[in-house]
Amino acid sequence: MWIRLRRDDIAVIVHYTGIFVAGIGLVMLVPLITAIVAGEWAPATHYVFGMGVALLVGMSMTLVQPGYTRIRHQHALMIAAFSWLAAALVAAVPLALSPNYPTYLDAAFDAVSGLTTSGLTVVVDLDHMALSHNMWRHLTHLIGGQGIIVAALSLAFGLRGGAFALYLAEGRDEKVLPNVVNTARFIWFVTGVYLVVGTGVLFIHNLIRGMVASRAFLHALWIFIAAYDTGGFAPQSTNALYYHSWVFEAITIFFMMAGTLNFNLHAAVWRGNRQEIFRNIETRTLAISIFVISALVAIGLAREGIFGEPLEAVRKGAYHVISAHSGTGHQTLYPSQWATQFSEMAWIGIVLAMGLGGGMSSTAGGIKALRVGLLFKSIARQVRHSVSPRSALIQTRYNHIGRKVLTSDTTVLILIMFTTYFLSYLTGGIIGTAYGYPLKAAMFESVSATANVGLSMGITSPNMETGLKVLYMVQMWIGRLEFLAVFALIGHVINGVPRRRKPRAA
Amino acid sequence: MKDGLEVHGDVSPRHDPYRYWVTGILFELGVFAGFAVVVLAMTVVLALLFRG
Repeated sequence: MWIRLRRDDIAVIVHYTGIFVAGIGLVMLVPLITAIVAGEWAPATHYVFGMGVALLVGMSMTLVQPGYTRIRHQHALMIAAFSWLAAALVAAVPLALSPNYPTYLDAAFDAVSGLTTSGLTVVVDLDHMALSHNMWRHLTHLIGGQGIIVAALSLAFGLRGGAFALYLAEGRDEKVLPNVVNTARFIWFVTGVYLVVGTGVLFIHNLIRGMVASRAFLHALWIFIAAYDTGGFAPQSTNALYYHSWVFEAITIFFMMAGTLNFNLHAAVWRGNRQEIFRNIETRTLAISIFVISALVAIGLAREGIFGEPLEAVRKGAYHVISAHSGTGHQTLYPSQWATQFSEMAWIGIVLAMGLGGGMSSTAGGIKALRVGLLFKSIARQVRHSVSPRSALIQTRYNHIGRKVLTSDTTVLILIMFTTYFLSYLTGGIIGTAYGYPLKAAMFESVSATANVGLSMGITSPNMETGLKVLYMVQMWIGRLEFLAVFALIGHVINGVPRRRKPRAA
Repeated sequence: MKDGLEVHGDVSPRHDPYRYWVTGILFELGVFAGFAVVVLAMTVVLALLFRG
């Protein structure tokens, strides 16, 4: 039964959503400073205006004072769903003022894609985009990858009660540290360490490849953010293909893998528990899945012989399997090459990798490796159960930051998530075909949007139909929040509509 | 307590994730490198075997 929201409940939701919206306005200081340093005066005004809108809207919303400040689970789900949507709409304001986005919807598409770390883009003339706008696009990956709520929590940003409920509502599963604020700060610490290492290595690579220092640094920073936050944006329209460098591809593979790893696993390893990375069901599932799908793609590409040299096929195949499985979406192919140069077998491998996704409590999307691993454990348990005597008590254990017992409730939850993801993939594919696109391309794009990957077969473009732009935005949004928060929001909206009662018979 | 903000307990050194971060990141990068080498080696062999 749905509990109808009272005035105080709505006030809590509006108040806290306002805090997150105002926070987005504050982060716009970074592209504003970039614009001033680069002497980009027109984009600078876009960010002054964007900050003004975000702060005005956000602060106005915080003026709505609830009677109580404690956030319940029900509020947390609604705040998460609203905050991500409101943050994207506000983040789109400065982009909409740039000449690279013909309409506000196009800017909102890229803002949703950036915040959800998807990487699909409808930008026009990316190669001549202002540095400040490129900075903002990539920053949306960083804010969204860490989690808007995690970002606010790490600053203990006006949140008084119910922080853990908010943390869970954003699609994360457990705390690393007893205090959820410290957990959020630890997530930033891991990112900060990787950011220094990743940007440094890519900067050296870019310098050696002949870029001037300032450009080498900005490209290194943006590519690192896009790879580690499993986003997929790039400063050039040809994405990772622009660099034509196997060293670049090898470096980004490391950071895509680091980004797709569960933050709890990083914490376990950084506490000195090295064995956890080998024992954990999530890393084992990821490793097996990447191994099998890489084999599938390698055979598929080699048999067709399109890439000429077998090593070229391996390079293209392995890079895209990691990019798809981690949910990053960096690609070293032109979109049309997916249809013309990837065999059916290799294509299936990439779609599977995108759909299965990366680790829980990471920046990756998709069904998630933990659920895939536990689904196979559940199947094995069912088989054991069916061949054992009726009285036998069968207990299945798995390793995920300690030994845990697989319960029937967990299995049911996993099946619900599998079904929901599958239905979303399928629905998007069917709607794509209704717009006249081939099934293969429509399914590819739908899975890429829901799983927040960002690989594209070419449907996603500035000329894409408005309906499809909205569809993919919704898919990216619900995929990032793992459905529950958005379903709760829809349920409450439907429940809030007054119904006409049937007159009683006299 | 359920809500994280209300928990202010100290973290024991054994549970401090900041303790081994340098060796931690090096170890992680080493594992990724090892895994990447294994996957690449396997795919090279398969690509040669199934060359069209």
